[in-house]
Amino acid sequence: MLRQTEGQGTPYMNALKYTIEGSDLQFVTVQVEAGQTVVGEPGAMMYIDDGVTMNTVLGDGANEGFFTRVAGAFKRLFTGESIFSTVFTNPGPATRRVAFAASSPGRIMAVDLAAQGGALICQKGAFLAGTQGVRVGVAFKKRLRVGFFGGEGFIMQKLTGDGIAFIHATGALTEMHLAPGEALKVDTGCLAALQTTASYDIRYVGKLKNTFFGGEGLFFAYLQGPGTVWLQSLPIRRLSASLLAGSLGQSRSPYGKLAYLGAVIAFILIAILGPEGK
Amino acid sequence: MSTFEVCLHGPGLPQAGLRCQAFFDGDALALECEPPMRIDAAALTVSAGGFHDNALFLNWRADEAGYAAVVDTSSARHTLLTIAPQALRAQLAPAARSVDYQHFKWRAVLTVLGLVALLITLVLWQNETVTRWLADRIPIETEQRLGKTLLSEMQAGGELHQAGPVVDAIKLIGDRLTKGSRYHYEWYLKDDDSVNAFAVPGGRVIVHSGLIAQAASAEELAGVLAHEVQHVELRHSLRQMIHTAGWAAVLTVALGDVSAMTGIFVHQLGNLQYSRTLESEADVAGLHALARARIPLAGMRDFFARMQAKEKKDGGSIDIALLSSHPATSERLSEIKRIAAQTPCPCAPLKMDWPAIKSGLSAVKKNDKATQRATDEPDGI
Repeated sequence: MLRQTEGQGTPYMNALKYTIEGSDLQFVTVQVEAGQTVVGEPGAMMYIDDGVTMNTVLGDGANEGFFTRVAGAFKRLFTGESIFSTVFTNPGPATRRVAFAASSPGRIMAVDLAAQGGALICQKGAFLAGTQGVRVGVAFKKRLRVGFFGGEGFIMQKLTGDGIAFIHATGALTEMHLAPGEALKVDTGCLAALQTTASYDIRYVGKLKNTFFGGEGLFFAYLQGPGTVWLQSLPIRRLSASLLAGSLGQSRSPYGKLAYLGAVIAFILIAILGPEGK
Repeated sequence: MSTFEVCLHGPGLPQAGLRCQAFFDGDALALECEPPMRIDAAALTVSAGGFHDNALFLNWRADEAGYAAVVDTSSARHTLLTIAPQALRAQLAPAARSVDYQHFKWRAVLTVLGLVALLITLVLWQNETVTRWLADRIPIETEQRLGKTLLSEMQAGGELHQAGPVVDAIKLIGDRLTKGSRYHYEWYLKDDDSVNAFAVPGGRVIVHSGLIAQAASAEELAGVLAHEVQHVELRHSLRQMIHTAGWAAVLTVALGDVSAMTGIFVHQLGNLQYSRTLESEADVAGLHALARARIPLAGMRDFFARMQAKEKKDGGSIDIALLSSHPATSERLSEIKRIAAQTPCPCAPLKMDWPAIKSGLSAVKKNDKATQRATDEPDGI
């Protein structure tokens, strides 16, 4: 049974009817009105009704001069997207469908950019499709420590415009509103998107024990309001790590872990008894 | 009263915040929102943040809920810093400083990265200039030592002659071509039927007997010599070595540690092939050297053109090794022709009895053993 999320229209310019279908492997079907255009990532299309014209363009499909497009394509390259976009136009008169599928297990979310203040920062490669005029740009995280340890790198995607953008994230996706000053510690890599007003920094996990045995790495992503943040439950890195471990046939034998436990206990005993022995 | 734009966040407000104008009414922050608000400066706490680390937050609490007026444009920030009441300045200053500091830090990082990238580009782009500069740092004595080592290795392969009528002729022409050079040249005839001539670093030029046999006139020999000599004069072997061995290695030589690298270099020199740029550089400089020595310029072109034609016609019957390292492409020939035409030369044919010299080749072969003994002596080279 399909779980469906239906969205409809917005009070803003690009009224759009869409259905997000599937539970964990999702796709979005967009009802394209006569004369309307949607833009998708190359390769994201799942099906289109006969009659919809498809056109591949450099950049993000906005109507503009050649050099601006090349610059746009260049930016897209850095944000994990293809330098081309596929533009689907319904010449009319009937409403036709265009469907885009996510490339990994996870959720597709429709974001009305106008409701986000006209801009949204996403992780690289998050953009799936959108109404024409949604721009995919670069958002630099201008902090070395966050760029290196924040889990998202220095470059993120900045979606601007006033249309609807479909972004996808791996795993389940949750939206959280952070009140002014309210903060959230997030596992690095779980951050899918955030508003520009939200602060994004890192925090040391604290305590040596946590650092070495906690399994969360050295740092948390530290998100602070005001602003809305979207978190994904399964960063693609974690997914690929467990898939890799599975495919390599890693044994489930407890002996390795037993030896590890022994070493840890020995270390603790030495640490505790050491000073007293002297 | 000047105002600045803020984006108000708080409970019950839109997700994206509410944009409205703000100003200071005495010590209180006044917001022209719907509904209007008035917050006493004493209740405000200032912080810096936002995704871009460029926003100032004016935070306060009301009715158990947090509110924030976000100042996220630089013009609004500037206005706020100008008109803020004294009560708020103590808090604003460090926050504004932290925004500026972030900005500065990022700029500094970008500048350093940019400079490094620029430096790398410059070095790659000016590769030729850098190698030339490095080659010029290597003392001539080092170059001569390299050449000497190389020559002694090559001696094992064939017979080198340093005396005889042919060598005398080579020396006569060669000395004319290299008058005033900083190098001390030595001229050798190698008993080898392949058509070849080459120069080793430091000023030793080796001509194969096969080349003498194929040269139709003394001017043709002069053309080849003029070209080869330029490889020495322009330190091409060193430059080529720097290209292949890397600058770091050459720096050690320049600093005087020859022994360690000589072995590698000598091995490289043995299989040295000059780049097309270096070859045409040697052509041009060679033609000028010919003109300076008042030797007719046509010989160089004639010889290469004839050898090229010969190889095409009956390829394989004689080994024209010279062409494998000096491909006489039509561009190269026409370039030689063009420069030869441009270079004024009050030249006269060489006063040499070329056929008689060529006949001296057979005498050389007979005397092989005697010369061999001479070159075996330590100071022979």
